[in-house]
Amino acid sequence: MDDSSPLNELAPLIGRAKGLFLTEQTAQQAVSALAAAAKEAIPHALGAGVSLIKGNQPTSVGATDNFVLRADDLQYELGNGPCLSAWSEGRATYVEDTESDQHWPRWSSEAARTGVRSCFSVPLENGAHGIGAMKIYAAAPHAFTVQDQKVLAHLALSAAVLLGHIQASDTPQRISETAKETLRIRDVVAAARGIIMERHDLPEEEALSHLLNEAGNKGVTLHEHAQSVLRRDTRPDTLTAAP
Amino acid sequence: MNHRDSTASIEDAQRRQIGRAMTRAGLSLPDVWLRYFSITGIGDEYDIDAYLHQMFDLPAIECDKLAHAINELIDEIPPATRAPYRRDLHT
Repeated sequence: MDDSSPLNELAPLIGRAKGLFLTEQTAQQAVSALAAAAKEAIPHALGAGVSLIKGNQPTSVGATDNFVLRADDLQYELGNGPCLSAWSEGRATYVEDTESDQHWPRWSSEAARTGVRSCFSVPLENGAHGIGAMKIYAAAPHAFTVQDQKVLAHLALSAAVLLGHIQASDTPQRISETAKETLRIRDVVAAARGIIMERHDLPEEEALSHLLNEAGNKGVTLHEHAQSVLRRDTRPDTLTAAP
Repeated sequence: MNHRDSTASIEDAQRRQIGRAMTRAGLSLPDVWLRYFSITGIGDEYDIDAYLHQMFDLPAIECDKLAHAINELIDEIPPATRAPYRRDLHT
């Protein structure tokens, strides 16, 4: 049996139904909502967003404002900055004042010119694996309190879960096992329905009703009942041939 | 009550009671849909959701498949643990 073709189409469907499969789009929408929440919950935040880093390729997700994208892009172009360090070192970074910062002087001076004076960034981790960073920017230096930092760290946990989910490589495999089993059961039930249609000269719907009734009367699942119908039909001699 | 009304009220009663059975058993829509699909259900998850919320009608046979799927899942819920009598604890 060729596993690949129908399953490839059905796996996402069943995955979605099982809640295992978060599409990239829904995850990004949820992360946008988290970034907006960060901006709203943290008093001096001018904007917030997430840098998602896949294979050393950073992209911005859920930026609340255009200047967030510019400040992010600046980091990506320079190849360093507080968010990239938060990601690569797996710890929070705080640029308290871009006009005097010594850690990322090039990024800081450029950012200061665009009106960003402070930046707090926390790493996003999926298990032990860093997947990016969530950050808030402010127009004032020393803008963020310890409390603000806790709030962002908290939101970053949710963002990491959402974004980690779409990157989980074992997800399709698990889904495909469920998909295979579901399709196998459906095949058995459909085959049994065909047998009943033929045997009792019934249309499709009534044949299935017939199976539902019999399964209900016997107190077994439809799958189990369908299996017994198939066994009787494909091996009519079983009763006499049994040892 | 004419025939049409009584059919409609039967449909509604089934819909309400299917929804109630699902809620009381704490079954989730995705799990119910998967079982329903496995017994040749042809509605997708959104159809079922819409049906349960009275926004969409399903053919009678699909309603019965849905009811059957829910009943199978209810039957699979492990019974609550019973309290032991003193004699059950002596070996």
